[in-house]
Amino acid sequence: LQVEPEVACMSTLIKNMVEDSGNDEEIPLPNVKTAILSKVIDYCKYHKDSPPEEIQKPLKSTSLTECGVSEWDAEYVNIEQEVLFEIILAANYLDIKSLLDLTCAKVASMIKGKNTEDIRKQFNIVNDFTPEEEAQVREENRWCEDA
Amino acid sequence: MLVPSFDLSSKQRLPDNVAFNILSHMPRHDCAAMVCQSWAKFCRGHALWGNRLRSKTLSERIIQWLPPSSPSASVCRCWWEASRSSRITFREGMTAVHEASAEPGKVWAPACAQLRAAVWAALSSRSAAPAGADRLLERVRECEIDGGPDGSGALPGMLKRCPLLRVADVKHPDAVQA
Repeated sequence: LQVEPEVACMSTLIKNMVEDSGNDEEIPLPNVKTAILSKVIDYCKYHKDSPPEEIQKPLKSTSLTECGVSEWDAEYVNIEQEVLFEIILAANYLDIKSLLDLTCAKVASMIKGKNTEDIRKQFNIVNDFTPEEEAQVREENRWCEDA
Repeated sequence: MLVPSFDLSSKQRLPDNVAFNILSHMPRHDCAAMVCQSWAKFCRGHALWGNRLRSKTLSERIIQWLPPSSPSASVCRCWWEASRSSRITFREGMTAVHEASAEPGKVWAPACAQLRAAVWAALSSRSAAPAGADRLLERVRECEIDGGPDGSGALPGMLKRCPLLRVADVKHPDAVQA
């Protein structure tokens, strides 16, 4: 994939590689599939000249646009879980902070408002607390919910 | 969807729902993903999320967007640790800080020196709080009070700085009476 240096250098990993070996060298990215890299490049092209706004922490709503995310970005992460997951891994590997923030915030928005069981089901996470430990942790959360 | 043959002689295949059912009971699919294309596809699907989301780095990155009061902490041990809830023990002349732990059999574990120092700085700041102090003190869920930490009657003020704190164990009521 041929990409403008300004676009590619939104990745800190690539930026460091370019600084070391120049613009004309091929940069192997063995950990990123072509289809996912293409999606990542779409993001970088869009934000090359307009860095995204910081996303508010904690999320105030399950709707990302209500948390300061642009319509374009919200639509960008409105994708299948599997692809979203691959983009998170790619953003982490390529070290693109704003994309990693956006994708992780999207996952958080999928978690927000759901109870523990629903979250476990959605992401197929096995509960590894003992019943006593789970009761203790739940009790602490209940206090917070009451507040 | 293709599924593997469970009996080569009969050439009969496992029904899809049976294959899914078997794999769904295997949170870490291990070699199952290597059995055939269809199993690999299933193992790469949403089940993978569960395994990946139980990595400390990724769960921390996601949980940072959720409020400290989110029930997400009780999903699993890894998320409990990633939520970084903390517990403070006040004793005469000493303050101990514990953090949520992912270790089996341990809900709380002693916090590192850096966190202890940061929590203490946030608790004891009288005017401008250090950067990030609010977020740090929002994570304090529980405390044990067995005396004032510095003998100056500052404990009530310290407790007020922890908005999500619910007193768990007061062994020394005089320390908070003011």
